[in-house]
Amino acid sequence: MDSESERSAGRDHPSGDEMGQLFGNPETRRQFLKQFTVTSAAMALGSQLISSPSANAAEKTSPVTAENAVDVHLRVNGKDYALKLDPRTTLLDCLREHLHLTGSKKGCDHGQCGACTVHINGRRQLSCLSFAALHAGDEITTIEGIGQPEKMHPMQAAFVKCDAYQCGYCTSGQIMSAVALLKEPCGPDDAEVKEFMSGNICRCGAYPNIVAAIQQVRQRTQAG
Amino acid sequence: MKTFQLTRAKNNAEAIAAGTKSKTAQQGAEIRFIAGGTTLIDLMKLNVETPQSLVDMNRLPLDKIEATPDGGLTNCGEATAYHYSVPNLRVHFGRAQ
Repeated sequence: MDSESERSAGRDHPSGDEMGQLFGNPETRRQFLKQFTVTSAAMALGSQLISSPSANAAEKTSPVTAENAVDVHLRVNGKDYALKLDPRTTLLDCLREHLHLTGSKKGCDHGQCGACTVHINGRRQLSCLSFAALHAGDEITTIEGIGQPEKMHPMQAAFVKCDAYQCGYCTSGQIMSAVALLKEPCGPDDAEVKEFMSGNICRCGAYPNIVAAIQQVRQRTQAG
Repeated sequence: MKTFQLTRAKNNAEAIAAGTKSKTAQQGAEIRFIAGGTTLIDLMKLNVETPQSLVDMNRLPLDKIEATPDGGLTNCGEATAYHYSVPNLRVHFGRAQ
């Protein structure tokens, strides 16, 4: 049956190779991509050879000779760090790129989404709209300092329990805001919680579950 | 973002002295004060504001919101959004629980 259908395919339809060319079967596509990668790699190498060596040297030395560089001592999650930073470094970039605390996320980088929320001296603040150099001596807490998988903050546990996320990108910011909210003058009803959490955007739309998680923690802390 | 010199004002007089060195306080001023930075840093990222010097006034005692005798409020420029969520302010505008 199989051989018969193969033969009929060979007779009436284009051969396997031709089909591949027409519809791009995986093997042909892979070959194409391989070829393409080799070509583009060669092109990139070519442009590197063409570019002047001085430009490359400047790129390498730029972190050391950063204009107006400032010495900053930061205290993050109870640990002290001595850094030399370009004054333009936002607190978010400093946390992620220099201290490798990548829990705080860069969403919009313009203070509109809340994914980068951290605590400065116990208050929530957007780390993308603040320079790291302004926070010498401040007590900075990131999501890493709130809790760890083996020892979660009650808010983190509630987020897991209530399924208060989908993709999880905004979650660290949501939790930072939610933890700060516990100490803020927020009313008991859901509408008030939504108002206080309005600075954190969730593209997946997990809002009902986020509110549920927060209310759960608030009720427990009130009861306990 | 254009680079800038970052200085921290130790007192009000120092901050005022730094401010007087700027030709203008309008858009494009060469010296800018920074407190919260919500607007300023955003505009600097977009190269709308390109100050050569940035004066940090976060350590100055200018973050108060106080009631005035005529029932209004005085608001210092350094007060950040956080200050607006304090309970007495919500009472003031009739939004208390």
